[in-house]
This record gives sequence, C-alpha cells and structure tokens, in this order.
Amino acid sequence: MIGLGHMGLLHLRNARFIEDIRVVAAADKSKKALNEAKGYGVKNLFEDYRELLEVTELDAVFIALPNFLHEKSIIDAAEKGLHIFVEKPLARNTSECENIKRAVQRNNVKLAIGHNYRYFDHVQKLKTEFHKGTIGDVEIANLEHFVNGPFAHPLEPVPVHDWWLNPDLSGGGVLLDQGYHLIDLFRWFFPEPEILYARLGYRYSLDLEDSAIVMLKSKRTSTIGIISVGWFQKMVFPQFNFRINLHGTARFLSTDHFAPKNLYLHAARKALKNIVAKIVGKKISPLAYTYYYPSYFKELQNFSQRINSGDDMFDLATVDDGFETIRIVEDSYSFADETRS
Amino acid sequence: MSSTVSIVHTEDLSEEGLRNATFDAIDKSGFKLPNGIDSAMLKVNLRYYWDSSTGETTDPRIVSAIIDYIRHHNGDGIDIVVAEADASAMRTKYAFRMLGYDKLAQRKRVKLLNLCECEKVETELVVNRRKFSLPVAEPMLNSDLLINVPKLRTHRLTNVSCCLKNMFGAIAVPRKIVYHSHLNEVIVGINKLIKPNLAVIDGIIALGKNPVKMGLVLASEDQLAADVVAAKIMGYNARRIKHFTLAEREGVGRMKDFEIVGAINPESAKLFPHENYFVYNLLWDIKLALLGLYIKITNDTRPPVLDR
Repeated sequence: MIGLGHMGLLHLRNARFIEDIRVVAAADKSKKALNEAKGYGVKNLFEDYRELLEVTELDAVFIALPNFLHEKSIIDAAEKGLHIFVEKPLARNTSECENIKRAVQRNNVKLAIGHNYRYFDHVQKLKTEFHKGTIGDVEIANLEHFVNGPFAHPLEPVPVHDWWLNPDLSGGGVLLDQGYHLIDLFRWFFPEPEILYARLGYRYSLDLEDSAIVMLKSKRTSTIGIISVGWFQKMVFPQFNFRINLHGTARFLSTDHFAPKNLYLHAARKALKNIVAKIVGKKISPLAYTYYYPSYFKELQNFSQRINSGDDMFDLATVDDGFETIRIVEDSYSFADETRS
Repeated sequence: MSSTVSIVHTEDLSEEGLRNATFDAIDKSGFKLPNGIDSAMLKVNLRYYWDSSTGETTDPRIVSAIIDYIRHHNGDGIDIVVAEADASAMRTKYAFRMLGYDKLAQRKRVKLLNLCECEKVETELVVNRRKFSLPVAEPMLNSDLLINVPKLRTHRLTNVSCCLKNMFGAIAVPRKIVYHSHLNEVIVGINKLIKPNLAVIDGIIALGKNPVKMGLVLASEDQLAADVVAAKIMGYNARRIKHFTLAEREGVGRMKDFEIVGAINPESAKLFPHENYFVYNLLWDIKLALLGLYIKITNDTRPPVLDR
C-alpha cells in the first residue's frame, strides 16, 4: 500500500475483507498513517515507497499518491515486476501515460486504475438496462457531477493540500478530477468518443478550472455525450450530486431511477442486514451502508481476482482506458484553450 | 458610541446599488469617521471556500463600498487592510483568491492580511468564571479604525452568527475548533479584547436553512445592538442567544435602549425557518454513535471522510 491518505486508508481497510489480499507493507510520510496501518497488522512500514518495493513477499502494489507521483511510482513498481492498482487519474498527461504503458508492457505486469464509478450500483443497473435495448438508440447522454472537489469537508476539518491547486503537480482541475470519471463512463457506454466542444470555467480565479463542459460523440454509436462537472458546489456528506441521463429513441433512463431515495434509510437497511450476517456467521457486504463506497471495495476485489486467476481485466479500467481518457481530457484542454484565445 | 442600528434595504443588487445601500446604512447609523487616522482594518467573514452567493461569506462588493466610504470621507492616504484568519479547514490565501478578495485588493489598492501570520499578543481572560487565553494579531490591536463586516446568518452552534461571532474568527490560530467547548465565553472574550469601531452587516444574501435573498445592509457602532437586530430579522429571540446575554453582562454592548433607523420586515422571519440546532446536533451525534456501534459489531470499513 503506497500512500495512506484518504484513498489509501480506504483501500487498506477494505483489503481486510478480501481473502486473496494480505497487506504486508505500507509506505507513507505520515507516522500517524503508518501507525494506523500497523494497527491493521501491516508489518513492513516505510516512509519511502522505494524501500517498500524491496519487500520480497509482494505480488502487487496499490498506489494512492498525489497525481504528480503516479508516473514515477508506477514505473518503479513495474520495473520490480509488480502488478499495480493505481488511483485515478492514471497520470497528468498523455506523455506520462506513454511512459507508464511502455513500462507495464516491458515488464509484463498488469495495471488497473481506480475508475470506481463503473462499480456504482445504479451505474451498473443503468448499463444492464441500456444493453437490453429498452430505451432504444441513445441519441444524447448527459453525465454530470457537482461537488466541492478538493474542498470537500470531512468530519475532521483539514485544509486543502497545496498540490491540488498547483496545475504542475495536479495536472488539471475539475476536468481531470471528476470529468475524468465521466469521460471514462461515456467511453464505457459509447466507445470511441471524439471531442466536439469543450469549455472551462474559472469562477474561483484559481490556476485551474473549477467547472467544465465537454461534448463528445461516439464514433461507434453516434451518441452525443454532454459532460458537466464542477467543484463549486457546497456539499455535505452524504450528499452526492452525480447522475447519468440517457435519452433514447424509446424513452429515457437515469441513474436516479436506481439510486436509493433516502440514503439514511438505505444505510439502516444495509447495516441491519450486515449485523444479521455477522450474527449468523456469514460474510458482510463491506460499506454497503454508504451506497457509493462499495464501488471501492468491488474494484479492489475484482483486481485481486484478475491477478490471481491471470484473466483479463474485463470491466476493470486498464492502462489503455486510462490513456484514452487522459487523451480526451488533454484534447478538451486544447479545445477550450483555442476557443478562449 | 452611537446607539443606533440602521437597516437599509435595496432591490438594486448591482455594484452601484450595493455601494449606495452601504453608504446609506453607515450614514444612518450615526457613525462619524474619526479625523487624522492613518490605518483602517476591515475584518471580513470568510467561511471555508463558499462564496457570498451561498450566504456563508461577506460579499466583496460590500467591502469595496466600505473602502470607497472611507476614502470618500478621509481621502486616499489611509492604509486599508482587509483581514481574515485561517480556520481549521480554510486557508486564507486560497479563500481570498477564490472569493474575489485578491481582485478587490488589486482594484482598490488595499492589502490582504492573514491574521494567523502576524505577530501575536496572548491575553488571559476570565468570562463567566472561565479562564482562558486568546492570541490576537498585533495589527488588529494597533489599527486606527476597525470595521467588522460579518454576514447575516444562522449558525449550528450559536443560532445567530453575525458581529460578535465574526470576531471569534479573528482569533489568530487556525484550529479554533479547540474553543468550541466554551464557545460563548470565547466569543464574548474576544469582543472584550477587540472592539471594532463599526459593524457593517452584509445581509444581501443571508443564510438560513438555505441562502435567502434579503438585499439588506445594516450598520451600527454597537456590535451587540446590531446582533440583536440581526437576530430579530431572522426571527430569533435575542434573549435566548447565550453569547448575547453574556456579552451584555460583560459590558460588550447593549441589548435594549437603542434606536433602529429603518424597518424590520415583519415577514422576514418566515424566510428563516428555524432548525432546532440542539436536535440537529443531537441527531448527528446519534448517527455517529450508531455508526461506531455498527462498526464495532460488524468490523465494517469506516470511510476516512467520517474519521474523527
């Protein structure tokens, strides 16, 4: 486990429920985070991830570092012959993606990316329904997500990390952060998209965009996707302003149709189910009470299965998915820049 | 000190409209800018990175109008500083930038100051028999003119957050959450230490359960009197706001015997449906306790966002 910030800790906690994963080493600059890892039985603890890569027991690494450390840490891990799960985005730009792809191919390791939105229950249900053809041909797909982004307020208030707001270190603003997920989802539903339009917003006068609208068209299905994202919305957990609306020739369908109407009722129901499971000695469904968070567990579980079985990654996002998504993000930045100038 | 609270309502929410309303409110409050001052500090109310349209933070256009007012009466020679302190989850350097204050500072040629980065004076206080010490930024104590520019809004812990509560935000340490256990005493304490010459309340977009378009600017030299009027506008009984009654007892200002110039719309309270914050906080505590119990039973994962 490389990096024990919010995402790293979440993966570490989730890994406890996956039989095929045993976390034997963790690296982070924070002693507090390393102590927590120790509490979960992780024996080898390092402040520098390069020392972690020397641990001989390793099969794979989970990388949850800031964006500017993705390329280097992935290549270092690949050179050691380790399979890799990396948090999104794959990298800051296509040039880093190319280097990553070459390292992964050269060392014949598998790489999966944390495109966890693919694992949202309502997204999966929407996709199933879509593939049945019950909404006809989808002419327009609206994908939107509005949040606080890096300004999100956890229960224990912490200030935003400086790297988030430095374009050199983060690689981009909301388009790379949330837009990345939605572009990936559009590709997943409607392959081979090309860019029609992009516009970026700078309400907060930062060096990176805090809102973005991108219009894509699938070469395969001719579906037009309108992707809207923003970091400008005040939001308190468990609010989650995300949806996909598919407008087909027969009818429309939305992720909202499949999401719980009341997240607290959902939490109570799932928690009770897990308590009963625990009492009768069955396995619990990790994080089911949160609705959105099981996606992180499922992607990890899927990764572990693929590594152990030697299968393809199936619906796990691969280096090519990450590369292609970053290419579209990069094209969107260029398009928006040209339009602006 | 004048005992007048002025209330000005404007339908014109353009920069010019807000400027006129602010000038009008200050004039009607009876405040007279002292002669011969060299420096002025405006303590704004920034909360996290939420902009003024959310009802959470001071509209920079009101601050711009106050700067114009000072210069209009005392000329361009005054050194004007717009100040705010870091908070547990807010870095002033980003808040100033994101909420329009960097641009304001450039346009108006004023300085921005993070109170946490200044030399500090630590002072011991006793309020309501509680003893504590508070660090205050030296420039705040030394400014010739201090204007408090809070937002009109409700608050989960204090019900009303306006003039007195905004000075709590001036405490020159980021982690002010450590004062929450004796919040009322600390609010009163900081207001005993720092006494602004004037309060100009931004009630353009106020905050109740949701943002409320009010178009109000209030002004008064008496911070407590202004808070009492603010409470009334939002439908709160001022006598039931703990830090108000404590402030009155400690001689911070007055809760009665002051004049109101302008009218309080009797319907305004309806725009602020009161949340029972005691119940709200209790419910949060219950939810978190239930979550803790559930995790203890099942050993399930707790998302780090819910860590304490």
